[in-house]
Amino acid sequence: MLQVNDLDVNYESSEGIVQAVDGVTIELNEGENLGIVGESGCGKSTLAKAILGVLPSNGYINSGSIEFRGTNLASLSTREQREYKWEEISMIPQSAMNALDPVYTIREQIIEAVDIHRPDEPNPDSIVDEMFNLVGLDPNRADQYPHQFSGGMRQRAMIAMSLALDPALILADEPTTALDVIMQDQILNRISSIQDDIDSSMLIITHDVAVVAETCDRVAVMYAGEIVEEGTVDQIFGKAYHPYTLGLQNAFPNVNKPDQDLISIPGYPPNLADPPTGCRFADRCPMATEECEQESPSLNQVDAVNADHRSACHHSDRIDTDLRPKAQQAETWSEEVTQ
Amino acid sequence: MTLLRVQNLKKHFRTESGLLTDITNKIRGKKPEYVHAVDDVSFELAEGETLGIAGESGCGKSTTGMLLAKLYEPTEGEIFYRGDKFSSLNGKKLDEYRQNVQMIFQDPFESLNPSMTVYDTLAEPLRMFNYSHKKNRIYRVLDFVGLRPPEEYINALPGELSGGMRQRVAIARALILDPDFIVADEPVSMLDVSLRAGVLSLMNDMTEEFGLSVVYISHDISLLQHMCDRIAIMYMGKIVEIGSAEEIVANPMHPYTQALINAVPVPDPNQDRSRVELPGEVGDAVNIPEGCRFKHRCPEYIEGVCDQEPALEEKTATGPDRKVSCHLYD
Repeated sequence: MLQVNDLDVNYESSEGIVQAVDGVTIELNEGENLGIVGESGCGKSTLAKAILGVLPSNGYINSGSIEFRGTNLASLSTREQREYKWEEISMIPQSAMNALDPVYTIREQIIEAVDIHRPDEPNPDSIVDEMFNLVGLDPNRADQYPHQFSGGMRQRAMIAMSLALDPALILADEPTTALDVIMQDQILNRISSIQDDIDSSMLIITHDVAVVAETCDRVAVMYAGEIVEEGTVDQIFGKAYHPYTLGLQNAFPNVNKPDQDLISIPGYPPNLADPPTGCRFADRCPMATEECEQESPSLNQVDAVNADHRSACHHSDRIDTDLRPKAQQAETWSEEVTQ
Repeated sequence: MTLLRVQNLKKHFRTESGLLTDITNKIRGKKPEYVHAVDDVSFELAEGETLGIAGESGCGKSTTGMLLAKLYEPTEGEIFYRGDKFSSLNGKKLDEYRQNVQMIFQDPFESLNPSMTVYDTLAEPLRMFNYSHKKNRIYRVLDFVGLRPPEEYINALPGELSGGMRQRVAIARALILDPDFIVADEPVSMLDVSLRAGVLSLMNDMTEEFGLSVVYISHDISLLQHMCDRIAIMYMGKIVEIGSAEEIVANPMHPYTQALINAVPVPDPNQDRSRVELPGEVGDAVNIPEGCRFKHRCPEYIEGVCDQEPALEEKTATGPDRKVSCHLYD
């Protein structure tokens, strides 16, 4: 359904050109949920913006293609891209606070989106009511303004809006990060049940490893503009191969494991205006060798059996015996690198 | 020994204020409205103890933290610091308290003055309280928070440091006066996951090394479980349950605590957690309902019974050192 090929997205900045997304290839099948996990600055939001054609003015697609059901979105004009937005691909942004227009009622905003794409729609009001019911909001409140809604309700209204045209693909950029845990749980639950109803695919972009574990079929882990590992949730959470993925999992608290030690990854991500030549994780990696400093690893199958589990590491063959058994010990990651 | 005793603490904020509002209220015969941010909270904090306060936004956890740091004056109630009443602290005693209690805020991008170097940021509190040997102290504390070697950091401005480093500077600033009590309000929620663990273990070291008592305020229960001896759960300005961190998470008793813990996503795709969908949203903190504040959302609501306000107390089922305010238990 969605095929991103070798995508490079650059930003022009005062420090020079920043390669925010570097050679990213992802594939999303019909009806599938793909999670993109990474920390701030890893390029995950830039990837979403590139897919939706809403890069900021200093950002541009340098090379690569984004194909949606056979059409290269990157080659379309802004006008043509707009046709796709909402109708085929819709976005649930992180902050509904900023995404909704404060001077129009929610109903007016949803109807505007419907009108643009389906001017012949006989009864747009009924779409609003239907969507409000779907996300668990009282349709009578659609005539209110965004400020009359609480944060959780606004996020639900935003979801109602993004689903109004039955999009085939939903791009959710940190959809619940701004919400409290109970509201987050309800919204995620709601999104997945709606998805089952309308049979859409979803790309979830988040830093929250647990959200991905619960909502996605497959995961791609991004680090410093590149995908470093991808596989099914079972593969990534059961038997990760990339040292960064292993490190990230150790750093993330699990409410069911009170005795777990939280271990941080030493050091900092590299400056993308001047990325290192070799593996971008090398200077934080406990397994790094000379080869890692020199040569950038490519994303390869981790073993002969699991064709869909790929990792970008020179030492995939050593992970089983070397790093994974030791990954949960603090000494493995401790280093005289100060943060 | 008890460091801090909080007794029936309340903090109410006027929803609107100003002369004009007062006049129109008077004309219309309207009484001013208050947000009951903190509404009758009591607990004790022992020396060297770490207490977590958890709850959703608006539950009053941050206001409680501000009251403890004496950044707000309570509407009612009293806080005792080493036996001394807060309200009667003045002169030398107040100075002493100001040195002994420090706060770490959520956002290291906003809590540090952007035009002050790391050295100035750390020297300012020392100057205010007339400390000597500033340089030594500053170097020592920078070394402790992991900004090594200190010479490389002293002349840096906050803008030149990453989020994790900035939060370390904020921690260094909190430690520089050698306090005995720290209030940390969401100290890592702005930091990236891979750096969080480092700041948390630094805060653990700090608690041990300096023998500090800490109140952690966070919405993240999994994190509090890792950091705290005890956890208090707040809902609409009240503590609904308090007890050892381990007990609260493993065996939550209050229906709200149960919902809160059930809602935490688990980083394990094979784990199916039971979901309790709570109806509605956190109630209105201006017009507080009669009886239990959670009753409209509570899956265990008992008509008649829950219209009486439950007290936070030890129950037969809780055992000692644990309190819950719910009519389900007796």
